[in-house]
Amino acid sequence: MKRAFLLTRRRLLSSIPVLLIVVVGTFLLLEAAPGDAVDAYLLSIGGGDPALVQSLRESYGLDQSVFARLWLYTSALVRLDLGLSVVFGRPILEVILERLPNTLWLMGSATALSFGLGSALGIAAGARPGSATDRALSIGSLALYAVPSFWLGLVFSVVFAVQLRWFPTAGIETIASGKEGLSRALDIAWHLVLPVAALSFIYLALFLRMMRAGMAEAWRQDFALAARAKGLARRRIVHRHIARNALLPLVTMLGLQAASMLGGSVVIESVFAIPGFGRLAQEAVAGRDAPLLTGIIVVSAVLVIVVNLLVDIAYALLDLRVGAAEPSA
Amino acid sequence: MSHISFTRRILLQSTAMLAAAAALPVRGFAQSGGRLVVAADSEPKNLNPAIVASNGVFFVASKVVEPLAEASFEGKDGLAPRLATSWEGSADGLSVTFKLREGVTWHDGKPFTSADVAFSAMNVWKPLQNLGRLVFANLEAVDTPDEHTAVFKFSKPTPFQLIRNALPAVTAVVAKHIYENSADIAADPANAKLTGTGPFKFAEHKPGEYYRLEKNEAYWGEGQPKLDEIVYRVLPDRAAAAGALEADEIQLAAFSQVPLADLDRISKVDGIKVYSTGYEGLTYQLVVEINHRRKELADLKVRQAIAHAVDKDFVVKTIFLGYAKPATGIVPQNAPEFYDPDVPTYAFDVAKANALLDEAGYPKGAYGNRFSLKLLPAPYFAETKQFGDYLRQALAAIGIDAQIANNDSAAHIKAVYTDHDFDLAVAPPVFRGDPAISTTILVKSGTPDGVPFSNQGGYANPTLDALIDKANQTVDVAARTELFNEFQKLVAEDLPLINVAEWGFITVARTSVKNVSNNPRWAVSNWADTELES
Repeated sequence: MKRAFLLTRRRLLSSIPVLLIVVVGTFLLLEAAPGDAVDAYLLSIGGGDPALVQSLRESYGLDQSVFARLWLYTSALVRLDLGLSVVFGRPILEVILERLPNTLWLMGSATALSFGLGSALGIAAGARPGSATDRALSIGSLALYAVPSFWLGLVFSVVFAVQLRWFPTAGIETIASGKEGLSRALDIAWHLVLPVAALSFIYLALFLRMMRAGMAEAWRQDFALAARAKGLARRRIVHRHIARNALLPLVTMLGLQAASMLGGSVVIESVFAIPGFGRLAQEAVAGRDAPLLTGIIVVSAVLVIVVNLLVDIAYALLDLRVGAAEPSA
Repeated sequence: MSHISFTRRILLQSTAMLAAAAALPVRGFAQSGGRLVVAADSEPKNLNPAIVASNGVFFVASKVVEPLAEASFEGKDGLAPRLATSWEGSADGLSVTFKLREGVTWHDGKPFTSADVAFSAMNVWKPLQNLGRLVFANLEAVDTPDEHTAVFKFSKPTPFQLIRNALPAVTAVVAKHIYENSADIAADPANAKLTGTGPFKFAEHKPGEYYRLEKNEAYWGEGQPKLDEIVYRVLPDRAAAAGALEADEIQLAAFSQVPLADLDRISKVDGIKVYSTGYEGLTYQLVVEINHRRKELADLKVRQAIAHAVDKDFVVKTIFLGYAKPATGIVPQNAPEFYDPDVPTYAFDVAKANALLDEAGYPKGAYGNRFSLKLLPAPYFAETKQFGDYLRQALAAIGIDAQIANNDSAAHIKAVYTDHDFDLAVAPPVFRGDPAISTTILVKSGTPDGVPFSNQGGYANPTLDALIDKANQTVDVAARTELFNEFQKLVAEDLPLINVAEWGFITVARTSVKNVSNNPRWAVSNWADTELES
């Protein structure tokens, strides 16, 4: 427990400079993109006269210098105030909290499915490296990995939603349905099936390949030989000895994947019209909404840091050697 | 040992849960009797049509907040009465009198009166609205002799023709009692939860998901509205709208949300109909913007050569798949009041274009190149991007090497309208019923940098400017129309820009939706007579 606490403290301290770099970097990057929030807004309303353009720039604070705005933004951020979105005209925290749950559901389910199914299939493949099952699974997973997620999403949508009508084509829940409680939860789950499948099938391959490679490696180790020499049942060797040793790198991968899935969900959210975090980021970039985009990136960075911390703790629990050598000061 | 089984259980549970979700019984997409679900591709930041006169806002807001008059196929001067029952301009152009509809109430039950119109005009349209600032620039006061008469007083002669043509877009009336104590009307929270007099009441907006409007039982139109509810479902992906229509999850997609390339296939699906009408009042124009600061492009012969190099029929057939018309000039054919076909035209003629360039003193050099240009196609429409690719090839045929620069929307606007960092640009301006509203600004000189959809190509023609100024003060309808005929000729002659094609959007609807596209601004009108057959 002490190890976990030390690990957490060390991680939280080291995340402060990371967040600072993220904030300044995002702000400046979007600033470097040509066009500002007023340009984007004027497009949406079909233009305006010079005085309107001028008054808009003033009301958005765009008549001030980049550094004045960056200072204003970061000093407010320190007080945990994310500010007001230019695109939505609403508090950024409110906008983000509205969208975040949808993405967390999507990503959480997709991560669970790809990790669960991927490692299960990886065990099947790694139980007998080189067998027909192994070959079939390895080739199949590679093929899946090569498919772009937006295409897979569209194909799922056309086949299962438009043709077969088993699932809805888009959305996070039935619109304006007035559903509450369990029926709403089921409704959301039903809407998530296609996007989660599209998102997780791509990432599944990675876990599968990794599990399989780890197991193939473990088979060659002495303890595997010892277990066989003891006369243990093959099933028991596969599950308790080989698979367990191959699982550790997968946990690391889980943390990394959580981050890349945040990016991958942009496309899937757009295809399935899920009002999530990725789509919000897209809207923020299109509208040149620097405070909103920075807010999104900060929240994503915090998410990634937390996930990685959880992964490290899980790692420490799975492998007692981790963190044992941490300085206790 | 317990660690691994713990992980496995979690793993099995999570997969099982997802599998269970997948196996849920298939349910039908039953619609309640009168709910029309339509696709929306954007959620405007400010939904108040009195402040933001744009199609994105009108698409939702026009059902809630009504203008004084709406465009019509049959009505006199192409108008049908809404909140005003009649309108008349004085001979001196200094006043316009509106008789207002009686017995109309706001959605909160308060009566609608001339005070609301006066407040909207003086406090919202004139100071705040993107188009109203121009149309009502000289509006001095609105007199209200009685509750149902509003007299607009102008400080300078203002053409009644312009006011009349602008009525559908710029006169959405908002309630005085809601905004009169507002410190900042443009940022008032009431803009997100509209109150109007329209056939539908604003019910809710779930950001990223939908808008819901519900029937206004107290609407002034007899037996209207027909629908109980309209739900705008936010579908940002274009392919998604077509799929949702086929699956009957939505019943209507307007503004070409179903891509042109899908129309042929989807029109063959049972129960789906494609409408190419209902946008006559919202004509979009495909235009090549020219930077006259480039010495080659400042030469009229070069501009004529470029005009001759473009095969407009090919553009209409291949890029717009027939859902467009070749343009002859800066005023579209859908504006019969102003359209003049008798202007210089530029037939597709590569040999002539090459000859003109030779004459202009730009002979073909190495690899047949005369000179290079930077081409910026506007990224807002698939068609403008595709035309950019076409134009590059068309220019190559006459020895001009066009380098395409791809930007996203905000970057394109900055590059063209602020930085002037382009030689040629492809733009889709809109004709809004009168050339003075958003068309003359495309060629008139003197607009400061940074104003999108204006002449930022450095073109200045004193004769043309004088003509535009004169038309802005000419009250007599026939004389003003004549001035705009001259204006069209001059533009076609001098080519400050090149008009290639003009198009309206496409609506795709289930056949169960009745009374679709029955006026020239249908998608942005009030849908009071729209019906849903079950």
